[in-house]
Order: sequence, then structure tokens, then C-alpha cells
Amino acid sequence: MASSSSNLISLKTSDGTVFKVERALAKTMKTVQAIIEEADANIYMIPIHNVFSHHMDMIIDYYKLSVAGKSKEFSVEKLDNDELKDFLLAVHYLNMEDLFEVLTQAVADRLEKKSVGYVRKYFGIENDFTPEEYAAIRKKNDWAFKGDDIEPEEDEEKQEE
Amino acid sequence: MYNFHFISSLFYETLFTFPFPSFNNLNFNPNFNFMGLRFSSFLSNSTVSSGPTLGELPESCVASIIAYMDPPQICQLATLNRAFRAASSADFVWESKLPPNYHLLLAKIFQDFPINLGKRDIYTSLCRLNSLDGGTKKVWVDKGTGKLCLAISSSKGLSITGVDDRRYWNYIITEESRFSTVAYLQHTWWFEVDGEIDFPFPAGTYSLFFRIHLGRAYKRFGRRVCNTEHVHGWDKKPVQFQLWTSDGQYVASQCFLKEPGNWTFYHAGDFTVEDGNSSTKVKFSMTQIDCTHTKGGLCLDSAFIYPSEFKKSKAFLNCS
Repeated sequence: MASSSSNLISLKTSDGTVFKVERALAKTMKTVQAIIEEADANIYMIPIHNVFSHHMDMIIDYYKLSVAGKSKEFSVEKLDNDELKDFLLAVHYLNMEDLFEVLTQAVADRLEKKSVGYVRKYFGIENDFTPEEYAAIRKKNDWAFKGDDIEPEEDEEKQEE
Repeated sequence: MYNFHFISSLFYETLFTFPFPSFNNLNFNPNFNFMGLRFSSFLSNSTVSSGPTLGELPESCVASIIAYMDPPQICQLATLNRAFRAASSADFVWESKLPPNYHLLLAKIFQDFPINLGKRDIYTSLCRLNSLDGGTKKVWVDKGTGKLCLAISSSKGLSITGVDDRRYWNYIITEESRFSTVAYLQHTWWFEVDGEIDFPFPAGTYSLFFRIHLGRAYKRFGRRVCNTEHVHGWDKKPVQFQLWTSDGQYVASQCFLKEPGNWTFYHAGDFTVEDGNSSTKVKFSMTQIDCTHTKGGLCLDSAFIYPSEFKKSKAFLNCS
């Protein structure tokens, strides 16, 4: 049965589960939509890498809520940091704008006011600067590491008349 | 807005280059470069993800996350790695930090502002202590909050009654001001300071302050010394403050000047700007014109206009 002639699209997650989703939901996944549009032949099933069935469950939850006008009720609070990161990567891969915004906001909330070291650990980031590059970027942004009452720099170029 | 389409076209290229649908048998490098961005594909059929780290997130993703943060944190995170450094310079990240009417601000402050400067550089330029009106005023955006601040100098920025009479007023050079001089009052019967400003303030509520020091400070052997022998008259009657805007706002208040030896910000009043797309004209005055007594021994630095929320958040404005 060709999915192009039905209203359901079959998506196969990385862990082998097949989800039959409405066309409208598949449309919110720009990655998937691009495949559907480009394929001349009928597509049986679209595999979605990096996306697991528990991600699809949440994606479908979000979709149902947003269709009902209740997207604000969608919460990722119960996800721990690693699960949230995973989910963000999946949604980013699928290129789903609205949900991506929700998740980037959620990640930003968790990182708000946290130290650079915490964020480095959270993202698993390695410092790939050369010592010179690091010194330069650190110097450029030195003001950001100081306290609250940051004095504005003098405008050296302007002359006082 | 950052364009996500290249990500989907990237996926498309992967998909249609290799046999479909048995991905698990493919011989190819799971990490490859496309347009300088590393892209890892995850071909595991286990139920647990193979631990992808966000350290490999493309710039666009990082930029989307840090766009929600405040400028200091964005600039701190720029020191994490190259992707973060690049993301922290992204235009759309800084677009939302700039005052909404930044085009007007640039036109007012700078004569020739380069038009193709990135948003982060625009932000940095606005955060400098920019001179206005021949150096009699300074305007800057507070780096941490993105809010506009303004200082009006007592030297030719404010209109002081009797300032040209050296029996009453003198200008003294100081390091304790954003301007190089402050006005010092020996004594007078008629104390009046007027000022006005016509400026495209971004929408919001602002507070006007006078920065005043009772007594005259100077350095002796490197230490700060304060001479208060000429301070008199301020305890007899309070000083009156008034503020008017061109759209009809008016506020009046009074308070006693105190605390010799310290620079103090005296709150003169608040005004609200509804629309940042037009210029707001504000007039203000500080007077003590009760002629039954003289007053003197006062240093007047400048008038300051700060966002009203700074009254709570900035310790240096411990308001009188």
C-alpha cells in the first residue's frame, strides 16, 4: 500500500518501531516532508535515524496538544538532562520548528545562570581552541565574567568637542 | 532567521546515496563533513541511544539555545569552543538583545555608522560610553540588560543659575565623574539647576537622578580627603525636584540633601515612554530658592537617566 495515496505516513524509528502518523504531523517534520516531496516513487516507509520510539511518543503528544490549542501544556520537566538532550537532537534532526523552539527554550532554562564549567559538562564540549584563540576570546569577553555593575568602556574614538 | 533547510537536504543526500532501506549493512564513515559541520549518523538499532553529545551540535542549534540567554552568559559561553564562539556571534542571537529602536539610536548617536556591521558589533558599539551633543552628554546601553542609560554633564549639559559667577560656582577637575569636571558651589541664595533632553528612548519607564556630593573631595598623598567646611544650608529646607515630558507627564518631589563625603544619587522622578519610534523630550529641574538662607559646599556631577528597574537591581543607586 503506497503511503502517498493514504493519509497516513509510516515512520520507522531507530529501534525498529513503525509509527503510522497523519500527513499533517509528518508535514511538521521538514526532513520527512522533503523526502516525501522528492520521491517520485511511492515510499513504503520512511526511516528516521536518531529518533527512538519514546521520542515519537512525545512528538505525537505535542502534536495532539498543539492541534487542540494547548501546546503550552506540553512539558519536558520529567525528562532528565540527558533525555532532554537526546530529544532535542531527535527533533533537530527531524527539523520540526515549533517543537525545536520549545526544546531549545527548555534547555536554555536549565542552563540559565549556570557557570561555563557546568554548561561544558552538560553539553560534553571539548575545548578546541588553540591557547592563543582561547586567550583572545576570553579577553574579548572578560567583562562578562565580572560582577554586576559593569562600567561602560570609554569611547576612545570620539573626541570631546 | 537561520535557515534550517540545509539540514534536511543533508539528510536527503545521505538517504538517496545508499541502498534503501537496510541501513545497518552500510559501509561508510558514520562521521563526515558537510559545509564544515560535523554530522554524526546514529546507526544503532539498540533501544538506548549511543550517547550523542551536544558537543557536536551544529552552530544553528547552539545559537537557538543561547539566544534565550542574557548577554553576559552568551559572552561567557563563547569561550567554550569554536562552535559556541561562532554561535555567540550569530545575528539573530543579538537581534533580540538590542533595544527595539536601535536604528533610531544609531542614527542619533553616530554620524556614519557602517551599515553592514553584525548585530553583535552593533550591540558592543551601543554599550560604549558614547558622546552626544558635543560631549555634554553620554549615552550607553547597559551591557548586562540591554537597557539605555544617559548622563548629562553639569559642565554645559545642565543649565545652572549663576554658574558663570565665580563667587558662587567653579568647575573642578575630578576623576570621580564620567565627565572630566564637576561643578562646585561655594554658596548661593538661589540654587537652581535645569536640564532638558530630546532623545529616542526605547519604550519603558525611566528614573532621573542627580548625582551630588556634599563637600569637596581631593587627593592628598594619594588618599581621598573630603573638605566639608563650606557645606551649609541643606538641612534647613528640602530641595525641590520637577520633571516634565512633552507628552504631558509631570512629577514633583522634594527631599533633604544629606551624607556629606559621599556621592549620592537623588531621585528626581520617573517618566514613561510608550513608543520608542519617536523622540521623547524631557525637562527637569532641581531648586532650592528659599532666599532666607544660603546654601553651599555642594558638588554637582551630572543628571542621570536610568531604567527604573535599576533602582532595585543596581546597588550604586541606593536611592535617597
